[in-house]
Amino acid sequence: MSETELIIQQKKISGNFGYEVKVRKVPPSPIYPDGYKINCALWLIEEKRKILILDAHEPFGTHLHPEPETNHDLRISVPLKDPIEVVEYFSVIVNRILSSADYKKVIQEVVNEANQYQI
Amino acid sequence: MKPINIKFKSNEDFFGDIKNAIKSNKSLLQKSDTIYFDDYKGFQDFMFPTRFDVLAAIRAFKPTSIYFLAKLLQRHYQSVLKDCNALEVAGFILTEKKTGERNQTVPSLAFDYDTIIVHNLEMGKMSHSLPSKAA
Repeated sequence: MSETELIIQQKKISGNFGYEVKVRKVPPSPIYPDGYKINCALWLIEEKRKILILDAHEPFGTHLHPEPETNHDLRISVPLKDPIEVVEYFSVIVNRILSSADYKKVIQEVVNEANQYQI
Repeated sequence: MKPINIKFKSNEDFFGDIKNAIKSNKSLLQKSDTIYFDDYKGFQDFMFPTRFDVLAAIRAFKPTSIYFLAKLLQRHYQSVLKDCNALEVAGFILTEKKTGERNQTVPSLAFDYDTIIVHNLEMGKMSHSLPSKAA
């Protein structure tokens, strides 16, 4: 197990959703030469249920978990490496979900968009 | 007075602060006594009309289960459970599952606070005190 240090943790509540970003400093790796591990999570607060996770860590690279509670092994790769781009991508997803009446539809759209970039 | 602090940030600032911290390689750890909402209306919609009463009852009565809490509040279990879930995700309370015959879920304050301080209001600062004893 490599050493990690939590350097950023921020959480916010907006409407029916809660979202949190955690950034850990980890030893540099081939995928993340800057040495970051990022975990972003979006909750449906009244159900205390995570509905989307965006992770950036070895060995998977940056990826979505569109069914985090029921199928954590399902990972959709996202072609981003830069930690700022990863946070920016999560902010765009959050804003899309907050401005939609149907979060499931937005998550499906996000998954479909990410799938277009699969090699 | 042991407060829990309510602060406001737009999403632009929330994510902007995170990106700035990464850029400048600075630590940005949220204190456990601080909870962020969009604005006062967002906090108000979250907390009222029911969840403030849930918090006050948890502090005053220290209920041994969400079922008992619902009885105290004379509300349906499912709606009180949803309120407890939201309060827990936000960071106002914790819940602990007790294994046993009834598998009770015990709610408690996230820490021993007695006041909610709302910061960043144009009019200054506002506080809501939680009653310490049953009325």
